[in-house]
Amino acid sequence: MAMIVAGIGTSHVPSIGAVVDSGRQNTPEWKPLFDAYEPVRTWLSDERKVDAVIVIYNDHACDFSFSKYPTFAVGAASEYAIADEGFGVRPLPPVKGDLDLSAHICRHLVYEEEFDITICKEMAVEHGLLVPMDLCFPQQGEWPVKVIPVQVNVLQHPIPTALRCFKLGAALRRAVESYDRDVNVAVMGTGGMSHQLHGERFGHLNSDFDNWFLDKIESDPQAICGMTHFDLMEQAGAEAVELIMWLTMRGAMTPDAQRIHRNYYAPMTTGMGLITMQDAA
Amino acid sequence: MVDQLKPGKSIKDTYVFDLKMSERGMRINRLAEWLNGAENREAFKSDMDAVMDRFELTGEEKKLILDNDWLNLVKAGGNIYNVVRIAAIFDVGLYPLGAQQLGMSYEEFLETRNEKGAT
Repeated sequence: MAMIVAGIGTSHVPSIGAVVDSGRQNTPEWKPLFDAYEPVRTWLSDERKVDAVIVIYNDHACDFSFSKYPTFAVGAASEYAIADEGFGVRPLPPVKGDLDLSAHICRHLVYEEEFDITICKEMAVEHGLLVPMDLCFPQQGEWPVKVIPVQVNVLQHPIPTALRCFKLGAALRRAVESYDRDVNVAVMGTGGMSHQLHGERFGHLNSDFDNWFLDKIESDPQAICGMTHFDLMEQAGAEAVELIMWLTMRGAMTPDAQRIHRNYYAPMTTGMGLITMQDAA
Repeated sequence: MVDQLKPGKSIKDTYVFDLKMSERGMRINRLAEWLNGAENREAFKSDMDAVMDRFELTGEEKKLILDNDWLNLVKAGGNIYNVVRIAAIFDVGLYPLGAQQLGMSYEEFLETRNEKGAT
């Protein structure tokens, strides 16, 4: 039987991908970020023995366009191309999918959970998915785990509510637990933390909020589920509303899941957060 | 219905990208999304007017792009991630783009950051 063996909340700041591509992980400015992920990688590969990861991310008008922008989209392919986000294609191998598990998740969500997702047979993936992979499951010629991409509209309002994202996580858990093959699955919620990139409020950071969020995602996610998009944007910046995707990860874990790792670093315009969890023994 | 965006209330200096903004910015956003390909970027660099005509940009929208007026491109409905794509054509990165929105020089903006080397 398949199991959820790990939950991860992590930022997906695009400059991290550029640092990886240019090998600057050990510079004084970046070392505090990358060092925090070293024990996480070992934990995921050696202890939790992750085979596949469901990545909850948003497409930044890259493979999808605002002309047609799915609220929830799930990949159902054996491979996902690396997208050109407007700056060239990063030198990465294509992401490997798990077609059978993806197909099961799609069937379960539609037939059992009333999550009528958009199903994508083709999807090019971008920094929203790739940066968390760089940090947690780095490629060395190929990626070490298979990926089920779950794309969420967090850009063009109306976007799904925080509570709906949490419920999607619970539905994903039931989907995984009803899959009859032995697969160790991690769920990764990506984005944030506080940041605003547009308007005269550019550069808005709120580290107090970010640390509150890290506390609550662990111990009281309902406190976040109750927030409106307006509240989240007012506190953490307009682009930080994407933090609702961390709730999908949390919804996939048991209420008493334990936090294993936690980190926070806010060097420039975005709070870069990390949390990992596993179900209580 | 709980309106997630609290009608009548606004966040200072913030232009939430809702369906009204998306409608306003449709021409700008379509052009920017088309820049997700090397050949298209080259075509845009070699003849900006032709590409802007093809996407039916208004005279005002064209001027905002040619003037690199990022803040007003946002106000005209350009989603920030698409404005970043257009700025990249002019070799303007996210942080200089942000500094301009704040009315600061890039150097002044960096001084406001915790670790200004992390660009």
